[in-house]
Amino acid sequence: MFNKDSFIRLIYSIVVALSITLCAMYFTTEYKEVVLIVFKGMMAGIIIWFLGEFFFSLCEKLFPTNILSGYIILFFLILLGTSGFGYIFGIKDIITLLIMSIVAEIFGLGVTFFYRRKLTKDLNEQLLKHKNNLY
Amino acid sequence: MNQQYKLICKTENQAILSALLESNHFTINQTSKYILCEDGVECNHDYDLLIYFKKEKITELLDLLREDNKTNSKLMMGRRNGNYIPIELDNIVYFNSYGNDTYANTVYGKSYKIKYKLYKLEEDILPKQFIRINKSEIVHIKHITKIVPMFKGKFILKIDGYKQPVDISRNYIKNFKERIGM
Repeated sequence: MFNKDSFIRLIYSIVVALSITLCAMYFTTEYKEVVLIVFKGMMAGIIIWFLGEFFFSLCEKLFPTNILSGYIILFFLILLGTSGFGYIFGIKDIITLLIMSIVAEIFGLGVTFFYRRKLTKDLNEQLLKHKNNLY
Repeated sequence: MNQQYKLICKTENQAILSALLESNHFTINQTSKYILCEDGVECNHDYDLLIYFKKEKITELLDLLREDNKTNSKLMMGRRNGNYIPIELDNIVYFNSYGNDTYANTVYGKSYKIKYKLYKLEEDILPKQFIRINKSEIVHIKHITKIVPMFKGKFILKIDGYKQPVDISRNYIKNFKERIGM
């Protein structure tokens, strides 16, 4: 019943509902600026998603076996998402931007690193077990 | 490579059982000493292997024969420089297709052209130690040394004796994981 496709449909529904709510808020309330900020945030998300899709695919084509290239792209996406968009959205204090970026980089790269490490370990252990069962 | 069988059964079942066996790529040969004999029919022929079966259990029998046929096929003929050479399946690291041709790549780093298409190898010929990883490659599980997950959900496989890894395309990952028991 609930699979990957239904999860994607859920995301669509949330985005559509959110967009309609924001449009309604823009035209019917005095929170026009807040609505614009939320729209800008959504645009930032779309830009990061697009760049991620583009650069991860490009790196898959150019360096099909190189893990490091993926981490480098992830690093720059997180940097853009925090420092880049943080600056555009009004955080002008360099120290704050720096702290935000460092925390986000540690978290994003760390989660990815440990998730990949666990997945690699599980896959290879299972492969070994399967080989032993076959022979 | 398929085993040939002599079928002995009731006359009224002959047509349907023959058709079933043949549609499952088994050859009926009335001189074969591998005999499939329907329960209740007398069999006094000379045989190397004699299997009695009930008509209603024919599907289970076909499954057994198919598995047996696969795991007992230990050799495959390959062509290299115009010569036909028998290759042990265990020495084949992976099969790949290139254009209309299919090649078996061995642990010795040599590549042999073979007559089967990948789908035929996958469905009828290869034992369960082989697994399809993308639309143009089938790999021997024994020769996979490491699985490396990549960004965007693709996996690559490092293979015994081959510097260049092969990749499991996203469409085959689910099947691959299921095959290794994940």
